Amino acid sequence: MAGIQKTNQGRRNVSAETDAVVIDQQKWEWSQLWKKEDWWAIWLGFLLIIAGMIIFLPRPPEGMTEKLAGADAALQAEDARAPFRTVEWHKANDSKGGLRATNEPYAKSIAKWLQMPGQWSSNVGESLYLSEEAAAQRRAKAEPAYFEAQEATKAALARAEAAQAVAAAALFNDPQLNAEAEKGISEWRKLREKERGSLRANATVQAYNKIGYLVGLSIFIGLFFTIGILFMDIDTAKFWKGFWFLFIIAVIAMIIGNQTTMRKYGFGDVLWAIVLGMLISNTVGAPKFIKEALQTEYFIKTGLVLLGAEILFSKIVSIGIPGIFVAWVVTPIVLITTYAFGQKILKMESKTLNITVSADMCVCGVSAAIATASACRAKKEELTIAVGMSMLFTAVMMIALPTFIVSVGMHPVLGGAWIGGTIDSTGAVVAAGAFLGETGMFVAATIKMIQNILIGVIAFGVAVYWCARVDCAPGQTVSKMEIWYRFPKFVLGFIGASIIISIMYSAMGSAGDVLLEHGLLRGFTRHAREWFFALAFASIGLSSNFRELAHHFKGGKPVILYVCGQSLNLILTLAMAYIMFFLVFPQITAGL
Amino acid sequence: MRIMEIKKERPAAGHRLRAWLGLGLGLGLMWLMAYVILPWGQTLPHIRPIMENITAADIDAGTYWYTQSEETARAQMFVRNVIQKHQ
Repeated sequence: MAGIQKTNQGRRNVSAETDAVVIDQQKWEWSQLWKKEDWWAIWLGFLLIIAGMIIFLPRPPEGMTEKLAGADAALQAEDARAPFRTVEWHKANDSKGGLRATNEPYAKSIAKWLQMPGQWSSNVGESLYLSEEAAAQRRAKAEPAYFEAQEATKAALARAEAAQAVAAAALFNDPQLNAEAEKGISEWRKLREKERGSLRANATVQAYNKIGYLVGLSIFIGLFFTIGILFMDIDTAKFWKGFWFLFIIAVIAMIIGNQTTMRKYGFGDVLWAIVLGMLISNTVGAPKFIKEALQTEYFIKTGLVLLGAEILFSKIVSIGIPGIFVAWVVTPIVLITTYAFGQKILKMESKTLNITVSADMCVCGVSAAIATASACRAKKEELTIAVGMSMLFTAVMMIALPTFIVSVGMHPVLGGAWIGGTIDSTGAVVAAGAFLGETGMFVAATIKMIQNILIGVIAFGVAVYWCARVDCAPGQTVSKMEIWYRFPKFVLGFIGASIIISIMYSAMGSAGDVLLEHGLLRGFTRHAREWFFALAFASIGLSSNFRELAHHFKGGKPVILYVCGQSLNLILTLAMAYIMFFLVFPQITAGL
Repeated sequence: MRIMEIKKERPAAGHRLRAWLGLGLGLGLMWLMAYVILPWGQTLPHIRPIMENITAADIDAGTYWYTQSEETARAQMFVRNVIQKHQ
């Protein structure tokens, strides 16, 4: 049937004779730069990034350069002095890692305004308010165990130093003395970790009242997004009328996600934003007045530009070539194989659902699902399915994988690499890796971080592939200009932010860790991004339909896709980790 | 006419009641999960050791990106300093 169908990018002429779909070429209009949501995501994202740079870069911690140089010199000296990591090496490492812009007073003030509801166990009010009396009670209860842990750590440090001194007296030539010194140091590190966990958190808790800050933040975020809304075809008054409701749903989702049990299982705010939203929209119905505030794409794309700034390409060499092979070679192989399996064998109806599930399974869970779904313009129900499945399977793997690794006596470096390359979310990777000990956790977390970096390339690749090959009639050749017209423009901001911050990070050396990573990114843009994603997922939930969701689950194909893809991921990641860490680069493993 | 009006009101009121009951049921299920099912799961033999570890280390297993996790910061610093020795 002949006709003209309106799409986001242009007009599709559907021919009656041939049933061919021809996409008309759309002319570039400069007005898109201030009328289109994709471009506003870029402008607003960069506005925040530049504001963060202005705040953090001119204010380094006092004596930063000297302290970094001193720590580096100490690390080199200790590497040359002993064949193992000495007490002084660890102290220099801790000192270097503790130097952060986020520890400065101005950064702490900013963090207060961007903070989310806090952790709580049985009293939900504690997520927003803790009185001085309650804080004092918690401290009093926790202090005895904390002081005991502190004393135990001091004693272990003294023993470690003594054992090291004995080994040093033999010029570190006696293997037995070296082994005893290493054992003593390992014991000290374990007790130090125990002291710095929940014991310290409870023993040093201070009173807080987050309500005022949250109200202020809601106004700031609303005004921030209004900048773009004023130019887009959205009713500003109606947006504001619904925004407060959306913000409250996001806050409630964060409160639920920060409940102690939910935190342990990894069921965070993103999941609860969807669940709450869907519960409301599919029972009593989402209120009509919030419709203009449900700007899912706008929130997600702005958040993705900020996420792009956190994709620092130089980090892919963090654990050397083994890490690159495990995270950057295995992952694309699994992604492409799983997608092909979904298309050719499972015959999934929706390509966008296929690629979104494939990406979240083999790359990095929720963040990969968000970036990929946006790049290929997946439906919000498809993103919901991908996120929900990822969180569920992640909780299972977080328990099953380390249990198996420990039960078979697997080497912690191998186990850590396996965990980092297969479990979806960073928090679950850390939780699972921690079960293997400090080394296992460090390897797992580093591998996962390297995988996180890969999402930049994947999102760009998916966007180009979809424009050039998927969103066209079979046999149709798409011109470069047509690819440009169809290309989701926010991806330019996503990649651009990544390239710019990556170049700055590499150029700044160790100062990049202090000011960029532990300043601009972890201390500023990351918080904004988390809020934007929470709002986006609340919007998704409030505009989702159970029936539409159930339709995508027909035949259980997404679950089969996930399970089969993850099985391949587990096999290939383990094999590659073994080859790289034990056969090709055993010296790196020995050093870890 | 009045009977018709009453008849018309009843389906709407019934529908609204069902809707609110549905919402309440959903919230109830969430409460059940948070306070009964998941805490019970933590007592199971294979799950308890990992959960105890998570509690002691104060890990947030729900973080989905590396900049949200303090442990990745320490991990990359440690691993980078170790790798530098071997380069």
